[in-house]
Amino acid sequence: MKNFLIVTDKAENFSGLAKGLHSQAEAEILYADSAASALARVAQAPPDLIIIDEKAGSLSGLEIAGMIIRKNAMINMALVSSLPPEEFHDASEGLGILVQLRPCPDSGEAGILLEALAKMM
Amino acid sequence: MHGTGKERQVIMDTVIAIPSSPPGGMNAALGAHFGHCEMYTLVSVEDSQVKKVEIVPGVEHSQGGCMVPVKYLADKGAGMLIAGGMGLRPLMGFQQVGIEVYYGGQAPTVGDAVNALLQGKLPRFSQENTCGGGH
Repeated sequence: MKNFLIVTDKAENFSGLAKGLHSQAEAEILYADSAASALARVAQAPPDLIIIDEKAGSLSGLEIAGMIIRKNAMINMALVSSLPPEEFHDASEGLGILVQLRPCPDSGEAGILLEALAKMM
Repeated sequence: MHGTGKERQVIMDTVIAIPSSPPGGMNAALGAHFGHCEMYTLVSVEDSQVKKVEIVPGVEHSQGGCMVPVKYLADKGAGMLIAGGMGLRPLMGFQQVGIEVYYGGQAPTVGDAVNALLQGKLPRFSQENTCGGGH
């Protein structure tokens, strides 16, 4: 069983990805609608992977990733970003982001996530 | 007790890890970035005296895998690390597993960096020092 935490205030945007994760792996998916909620979940039970939306509330995904790292740097993270890959690389340098996801990621990206995660575990 | 970087304190039993250029060891140059160095020099210290020098290979890791060298050095018993560059995630990772990180990028050799640390001359690596890329 792999545990995923999706940080977003628009859970409907992740329905395709969630469907893909469930179909390709034994997955438990939890949602947090804010950075504070995500940090509370991380403190309770660190997931295998945190998937962070481009924004949640007033915070950017990059800001949320930094907050999570300061709490528990061991957790792998994927981040939604509409930036071109090179710009995303520059913007996320040092954060150790596993995968950049497109906005409203679909089921096809679940395989990419699972493959990247498998290399880490 | 470890040094604060501001005043000399006795460094008790610990292992100092230093990313190193080939061939490693006290006379080698520091590796520019901790996560992509070819090797690490591990310096065992007792009462601020160097007792043993060991060279271990670096570890490969893919995108997002910057915790791999953190765990590797923790498994090797490192208690302190001297680095010239590092991103936020590995810095937090080292701190969270109990490895103190010091900035020693200006030292010409591993031995110089270790001596500077033992003399309390190296500053702690702070979040403001973190960089991106190549970690």
